[in-house]
Amino acid sequence: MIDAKKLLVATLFGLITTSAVYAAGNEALVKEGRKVFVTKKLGNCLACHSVKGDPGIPQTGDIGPKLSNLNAYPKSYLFEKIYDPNKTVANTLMPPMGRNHKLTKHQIDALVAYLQETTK
Amino acid sequence: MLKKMIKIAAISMISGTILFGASFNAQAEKDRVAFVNYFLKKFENPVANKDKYFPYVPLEELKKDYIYPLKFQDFQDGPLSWYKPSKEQFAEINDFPPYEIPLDDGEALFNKPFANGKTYASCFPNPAIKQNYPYYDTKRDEIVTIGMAVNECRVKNGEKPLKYGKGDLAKVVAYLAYKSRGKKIDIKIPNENAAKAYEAGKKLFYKQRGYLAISCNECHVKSSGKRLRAESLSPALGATTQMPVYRIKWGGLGTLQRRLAGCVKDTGSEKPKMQSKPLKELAYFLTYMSNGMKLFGPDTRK
Amino acid sequence: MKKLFLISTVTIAFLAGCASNYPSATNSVDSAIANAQAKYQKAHDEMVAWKNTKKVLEKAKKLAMSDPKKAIALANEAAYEAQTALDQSAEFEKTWRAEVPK
Repeated sequence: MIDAKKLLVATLFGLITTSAVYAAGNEALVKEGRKVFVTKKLGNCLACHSVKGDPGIPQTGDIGPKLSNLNAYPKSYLFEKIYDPNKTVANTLMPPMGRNHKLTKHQIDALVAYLQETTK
Repeated sequence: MLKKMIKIAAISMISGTILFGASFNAQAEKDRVAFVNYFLKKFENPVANKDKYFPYVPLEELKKDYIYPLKFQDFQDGPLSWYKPSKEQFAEINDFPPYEIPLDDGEALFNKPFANGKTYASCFPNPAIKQNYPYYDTKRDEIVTIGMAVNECRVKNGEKPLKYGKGDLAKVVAYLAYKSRGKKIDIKIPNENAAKAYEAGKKLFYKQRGYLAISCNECHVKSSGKRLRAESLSPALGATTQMPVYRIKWGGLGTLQRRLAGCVKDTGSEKPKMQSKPLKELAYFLTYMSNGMKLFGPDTRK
Repeated sequence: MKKLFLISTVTIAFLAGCASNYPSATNSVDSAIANAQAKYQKAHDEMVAWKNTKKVLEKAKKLAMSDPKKAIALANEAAYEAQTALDQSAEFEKTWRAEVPK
C-alpha cells in the first residue's frame, strides 16, 4: 500500500518534471521561432504577415493573410506550408523557405512552435 | 469626297504600318494596354474591390488611407498617389527636395567644358530627350540607355567614362531628366530584334527567381498598394518616370538600372551588372509599359 | 605465429584503410567542388544563380586542403542551391506567361 502510494507520488513527480522540461524546451523553441519571424535575414515573415497574439510585432504587412488560430492545424501541415508552399498552392507568392535553404528544418520547427503558441 | 478621304486615310494607315513596322510592337501594345488597365481597375475603388485586389488589407485602412480613383498620369507619383501616410510625409520632405543639390551639380557638370573645350551640349543640343530612352538602335543592334549616351559623349570628347548607376553620371542624367520633365515617354520597337529584346525584358519581369522565388511582377503589379513591412509597395506603372531617383535609403541619386539591379538582388538572385544585356532589356520593357506618361524626374523616394 | 599473423593482418588492413581513405577523401572533395562549380556555372550562365551560392563555393575551395569534410559539405550546399535554382527556373518557365495581365 505504502509502496503504491510512493509509486504514485513518484509517477506524478516524474510527469510534472517531464512536462516542465518539455515546457521549458518549447519556450526556448517559441522564443527562437519569434526571432526567425521578425529577423530580416532569417524568416522576415512579418514583412507580409501580421500575427494574432503578439502585439510587440509591428502589424503592418498585409500581402499575406493575418496569422491566427494556427494551433488548429497539425504541425506537419504548417511545416510543409513554410518549407515549400508551392506544393499546396500553385503560383503562390510565398517563398519556399525550406526547399531553398533560406531556413533550416530546425528553424521551421521553431517557427511552427512560435506560431501555434502565439496565435492560440 | 468623303469616300476618297477615307480611302486615302486607309491607304496611309496601311503604308504607315509597313513603313514604320507597327507590327513589331503589336504584342507589346497588347501587353501595355492590359498592364495599364490592370492598374486603373485596381485603384479605381480599392474599398469596393477589396476582395479581388486587397484581400488582406483591413477595410478600415482602405477607407482611411487610400486615395482613389487614380488616373493614368497619377501613377507617376508611385505609392504617393494613393497612400495618404506617405503622401503627407513626402509633402514635407519635398519642401526642400533632397535631389536639388545633386541636380544643381548635374547642371554644372553639363555646362563645364571638357578638356577639348566642348561641353555635353555638343552631344545633346536639346537636353529634353529622356522620353526616348532607352531606345533600340537598329544600326548597332542593341539597346542604348541614357547613361550610355552620356558616357559615349564623354569618350567622343576624349574624357574617361563615368561609373554607372550613381555619382556624377546620375547627376548628369538628373539634369537631362529635369530638362525633359513633362515630356511623354515614347519608346519604340523598330524591328524584330527590338521585339526580342522587349520579350526578354518581359520574361525577366514576370518570371520568378532567386531563393525567394519571387518576381518583379509579384511585388510591383500584384502586390502594389499592399504593405511590405511598413511600406506601401510601388506600382511598376510609371516607375521609370521618376528616374533618376533620390532614395533616402541610398542618401543620394541612383539611375533606373541601379534601382532595378537592387530589386533583382532582393529576390535572392545574383546582382546583375550595370548596362548588362538583361538589365537593359528589363529597363526597355518597363519603360515601354509607361509609354505616354509624362516624365517627372528626378524625384524623391524612400 | 598466429599472433604475428593477426597483428600483420590488422596492420595491413589499417594501412590499406588509410591508404584508400586518404586519396578517396581528396577525390571526393575535388569531385564535390567540381560538381558544384559546374552547376553554379550553368546557373550563372542562365542568369538564375542565387545571391550567396558563389560565396559558399569559394569558401569550399578555400577549405579543401585544411578541412575537406567541411569543404565537401559546403560544396554540396552550393551544388544543391545551383541545382534548385536551375530546377525552379525550368518550372517557372512553364508558368510565367500566365502571370502577364491579359
